[in-house]
Amino acid sequence: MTYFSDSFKEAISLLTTFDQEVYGIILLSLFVSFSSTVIATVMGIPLGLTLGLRSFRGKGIVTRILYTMMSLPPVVVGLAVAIILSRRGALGSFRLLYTPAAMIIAQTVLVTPIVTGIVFNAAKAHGEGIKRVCRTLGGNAVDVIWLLIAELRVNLLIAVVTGFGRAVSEVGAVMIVGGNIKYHTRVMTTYIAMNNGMGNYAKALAMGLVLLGISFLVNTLLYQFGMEVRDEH
Amino acid sequence: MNIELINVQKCYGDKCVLEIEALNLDKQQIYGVVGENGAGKSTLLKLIAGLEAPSSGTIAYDGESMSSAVIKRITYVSQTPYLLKRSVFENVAYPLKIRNMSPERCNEKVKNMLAMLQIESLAKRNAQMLSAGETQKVALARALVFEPDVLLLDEPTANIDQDTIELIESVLRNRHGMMTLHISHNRDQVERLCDTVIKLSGGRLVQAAMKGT
Ligand SMILES: Nc1ncnc2c1ncn2[C@@H]1O[C@H](COP(=O)(O)OP(=O)(O)OP(=O)(O)O)[C@@H](O)[C@H]1O
Ligand SMILES: [Mg+2]
Repeated sequence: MTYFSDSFKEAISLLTTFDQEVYGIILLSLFVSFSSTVIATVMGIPLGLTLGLRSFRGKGIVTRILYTMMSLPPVVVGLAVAIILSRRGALGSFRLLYTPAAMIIAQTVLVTPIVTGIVFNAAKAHGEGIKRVCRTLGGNAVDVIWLLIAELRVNLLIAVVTGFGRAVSEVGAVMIVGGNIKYHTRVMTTYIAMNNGMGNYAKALAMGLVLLGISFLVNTLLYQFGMEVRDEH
Repeated sequence: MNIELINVQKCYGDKCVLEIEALNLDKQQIYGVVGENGAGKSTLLKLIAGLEAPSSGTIAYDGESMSSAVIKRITYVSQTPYLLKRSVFENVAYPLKIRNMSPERCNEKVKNMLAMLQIESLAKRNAQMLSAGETQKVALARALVFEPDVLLLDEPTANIDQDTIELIESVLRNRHGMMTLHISHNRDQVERLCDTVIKLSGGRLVQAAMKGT
């Protein structure tokens, strides 16, 4: 137990005397996960809304595939992306493996189904009603889209935040496609895994606390937004 | 706007829930739509509103088919209205906003509408926190505010107290030039309010006659 509290103290001192490397790692983590979340959002929101609102043949199977993809194991995604990006892979000529770009691609694959799935569920539950109201009040197709976004704003935000949380905390995919290269592709989670492996528990713990802090911050924003919506007027 | 239904059918799979050979609806009239649960009343209104397409047959609006211009002039207030996640005032303003009405005119119209239905006190309230009766009144205000030519009401007074029912009936009666189709299970109300009764049973039209004929 004293061992753990010693580590904790060391973690605190590490946090207060941040060096360049640690800052770089945190910034890269945020950059990679933020980028993949933005891309996933741009694809996932329209896709989720469309899937949720349209009825088409094979919707059942598409739904099940989507739900399965929401819980894709990061290592598997990392592996698949690594194969595609490797020299002999389909996109090998771009030389992306072991770059931040590769990590963004892998996390995008991971996060897009999550954003899509959450938006899909919200659209399935409330979308038809919103669409009808807009139509009966004289709205056109563009009005319908804006109203959907306005009415489902909390769900959309939950989707994005959940996606970001998943991206920033996963280790398997970024480890495989990024390679945890110092000053290049090392992010918070791979730093934690590496330091844990080397027995530097204090360093690992310190970074773990930063990760928790970020997660807390993001969720606080979400909570605030949810409260605002509930309390407004 | 006059509306004409010709050989209209609405079927789900093999089951046809509405079959109407011919029905002419005249602008300016108030129609009472009656019939047992499941008779097809809501289905009829949704078809006319353009919310659902008939399985076969045609619905003509002043001789023309449903279009984006027509849909702007018809409104439907559902049995369970959905109010937007914003204030009551914003809900009633919404149809005017999507018609690009100037904010000043919009404010004035909304205020008048709220006053007419005696719900000014609700203006700033969150629309999703209202009681069932309040919700119906706000939905009615939102439908009337843009002065539609055709008003389709699905049991608009089901949760409403007697005084307010009388108020709503007088508001509807004073809207000249607007066709209203009003689903009601209340015989007295239909008798009081409507010019013509449309009676459905098992998806078929059993009566469409001016009152007293
Ligand atoms: N999407 C649907 N799929 C299958 N059947 C449906 C669907 N919508 C409505 N129906 C059926 O159509 C019939 C007519 O429904 P409708 O809602 O028009 O009845 P109603 O006259 O409005 O009844 P109520 O007085 O209970 O509101 C009902 O038997 C209903 O079960
Ligand atoms: Mg009904």
